[in-house]
Amino acid sequence: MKKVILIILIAVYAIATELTLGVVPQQSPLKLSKKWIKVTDYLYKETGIKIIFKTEKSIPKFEKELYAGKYDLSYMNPYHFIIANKTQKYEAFTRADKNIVGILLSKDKKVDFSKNNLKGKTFLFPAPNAFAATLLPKFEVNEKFNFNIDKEANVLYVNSHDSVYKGISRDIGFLGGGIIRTYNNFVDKNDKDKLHIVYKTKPYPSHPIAYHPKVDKQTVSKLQKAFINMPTDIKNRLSIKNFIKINSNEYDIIKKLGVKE
Amino acid sequence: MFFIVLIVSINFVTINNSSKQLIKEKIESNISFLEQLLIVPISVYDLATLDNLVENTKKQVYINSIVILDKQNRILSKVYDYAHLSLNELLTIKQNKSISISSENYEIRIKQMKEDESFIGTMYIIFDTSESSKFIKDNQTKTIFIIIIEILISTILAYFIGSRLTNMLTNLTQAAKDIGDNKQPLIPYQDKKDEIGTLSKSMNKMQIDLKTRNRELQKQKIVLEESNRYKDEFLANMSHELKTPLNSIHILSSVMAKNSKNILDEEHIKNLKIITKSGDELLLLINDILDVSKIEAGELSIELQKTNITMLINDLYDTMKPIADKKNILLQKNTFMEETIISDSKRIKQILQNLLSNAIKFTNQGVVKLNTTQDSKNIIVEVIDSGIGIPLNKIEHIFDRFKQVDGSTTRKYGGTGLGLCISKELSHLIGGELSVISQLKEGSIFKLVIPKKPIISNISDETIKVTTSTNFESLNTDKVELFEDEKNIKKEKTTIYLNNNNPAGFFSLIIALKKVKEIELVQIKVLDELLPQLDKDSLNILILDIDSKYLDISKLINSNIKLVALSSNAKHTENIDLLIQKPIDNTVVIKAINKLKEGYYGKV
Repeated sequence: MKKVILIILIAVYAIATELTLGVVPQQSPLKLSKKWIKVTDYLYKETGIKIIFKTEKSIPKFEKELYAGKYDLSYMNPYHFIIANKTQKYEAFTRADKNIVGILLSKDKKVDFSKNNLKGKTFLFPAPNAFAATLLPKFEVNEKFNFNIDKEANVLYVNSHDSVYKGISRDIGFLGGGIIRTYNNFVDKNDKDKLHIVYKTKPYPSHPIAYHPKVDKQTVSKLQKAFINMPTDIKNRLSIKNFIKINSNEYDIIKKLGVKE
Repeated sequence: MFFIVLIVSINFVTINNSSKQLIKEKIESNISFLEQLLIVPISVYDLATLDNLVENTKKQVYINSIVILDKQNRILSKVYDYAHLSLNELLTIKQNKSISISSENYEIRIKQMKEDESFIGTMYIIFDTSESSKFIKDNQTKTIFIIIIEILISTILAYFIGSRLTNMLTNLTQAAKDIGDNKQPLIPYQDKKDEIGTLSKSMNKMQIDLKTRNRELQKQKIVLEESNRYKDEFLANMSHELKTPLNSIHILSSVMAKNSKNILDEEHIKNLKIITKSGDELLLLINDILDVSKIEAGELSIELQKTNITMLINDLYDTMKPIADKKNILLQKNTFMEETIISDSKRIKQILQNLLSNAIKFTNQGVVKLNTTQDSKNIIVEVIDSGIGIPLNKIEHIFDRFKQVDGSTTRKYGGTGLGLCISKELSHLIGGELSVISQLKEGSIFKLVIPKKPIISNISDETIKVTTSTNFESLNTDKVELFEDEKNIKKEKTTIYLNNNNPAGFFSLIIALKKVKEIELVQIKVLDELLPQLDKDSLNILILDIDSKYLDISKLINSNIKLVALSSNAKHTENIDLLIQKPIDNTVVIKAINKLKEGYYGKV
């Protein structure tokens, strides 16, 4: 009888310690699941905590779930974090050690960022809320050159970084937003040869992994330790060199970008 | 072959059309599908997706090039492999176009794309249909090749089958000919199951049927021949049997009509003359029938001798003159240089007499002319009358047996209708020809051509012989003496004894024998009368009818007397020196007597 009660208790505990990990759908769910199931397996082995991988079909759906506090843990972009932190009190506890830099590209080697020159020109961006490729360039151009792209120029959101690069090369737009990594991966030689990086933003902290306040601190601490000690082969799958220990304050700089809820 | 080509041509056209239709549908479906895929990327300038779609679409082998322009005609995306136009040249084209360059075929399509009725861009797409065209062309070549092979094979097959069939048909034709030639060939191919087999079986059955029928016909022929022979014999016998009593009637009535003893009155004499005349007519009729039956039996023969045409014509004229006079018809003859030919005078006379009697018969008033001429080869005798003439449609039939111009002719003019038929046959027999020209109501000209020398090829050997005389007038002529002209016969007197146990039968013979100078005729009633009278130094001949009743001739054996027996059945011929078949023919009997003088014995 004691044994039975013990088993039940263990089971209840097990159910109780089962956590969900919501991942932003930057890639297809299948690709994501392949990468992240390795991670959850590793974490369970390392900590004994059962973690369920979750993602959504689209970013808006993900945002909806996130802002409703549906995930216990979540990997999201910095912009999502600002909002999630504000609405659901998510707290960041680890992130990849690299920083995010946004770029602007043109067919011209040098671009005059004066208001006169940019006014009425067409800007290409992958999506309205793309953090590095859209939000960072828009923010800094406004900061540095006092030019509000949304108000004073034409903006086309062309769905992907590659479409931005191709669109600039094919004279669809004058300036386009992107990031170093996707630009380096862009292989269409005809188009790439015509492009030049004309502006780079300051470095900003990359995608955080945050926890919902209902998760207890001990568990978070265990997980934080496990992430930092993650073996290289799993990290390689995530294209991450190292995980570092952080707290939410690091993203205060993002709040300045004028993110709206 | 024509139909094969026709069917294949139709097939080609169908394949071609359906293939073109398929290509068209494929192109249309590709374009509309691609358009649906492209609308969103174009409208948002998602060039990466656009490139991706275009490149993936281009992987289809039948798509040569795709160029996408936005609404401002900027090139958004392109894959351009088309070698026959530069990209700029392509963009000047505003309409769909089919291009065929040597073995390559292209379809250029231009599609204006719209989203919610607003123009968002243009798609140029070039389809490479060379493969389809090549497929059709290959198919065409293959089909033509197959047709040629097929035609070749069928021609060869048709040749072999045809020649085999021809061969079989030739063999069957030969078999049919053989059957026709009364041979009995073995019909080939009867074991075959096809039409040829059926034909062979039918031919075989026909051959068997034919054989059976031939046998039946042969039997019937024998029966018919036999009955015909019986008929001929009967007819000949009957004629002879009829003639004998008629002769008696004729002679007796004519003798009586002379009324030499002045015991008959006018009435009796008149009646006796009617009897004589009727007898004459009856005899003529019987002679005609006898002649016809001989013609039918092919037994009519001619007797070639020196014939003086002038004498013959004169005789004839003398004979016919009284008859013409009676009808008040003028009978004329021309003068003709005396001419002697080798022919049968009796037959010539028979023909001419018949023609003359017809001419007189069918002429009611006017002239009947007997016109005799000659050329180097022939004597031509024309009998010209001014009588009723012969209608044109009847003239070809007048030499047919029993045919006068119409049935009423016989009733009106009398006659058997046999005369001209007999005359025609007789004219052929002497190697001549009898023809007629006539005009209705104007008269007729009958022309007898008599060859001066008989053309032997026209006369069969059998017909050239000494033969019987069947003419009544032969009794009144010196005919029998002709033998003496021809043959070198002993001229000493011969005593003929005639056992006259049949006075009517022997009547005509007695008259004939009495006319022969070298014969002394002694009639006896019974054989016993004979022996004492026999002259031992001269030839004694006894003529007797052995059918009448049994005669004991044994007593006569070893006496110097020759026995000439007359019989119809040739029985009891022992001890007979010479048997003469009945009916009694005077000439035959006289000839037999001459033969006996030369030492001939046997049967005549």
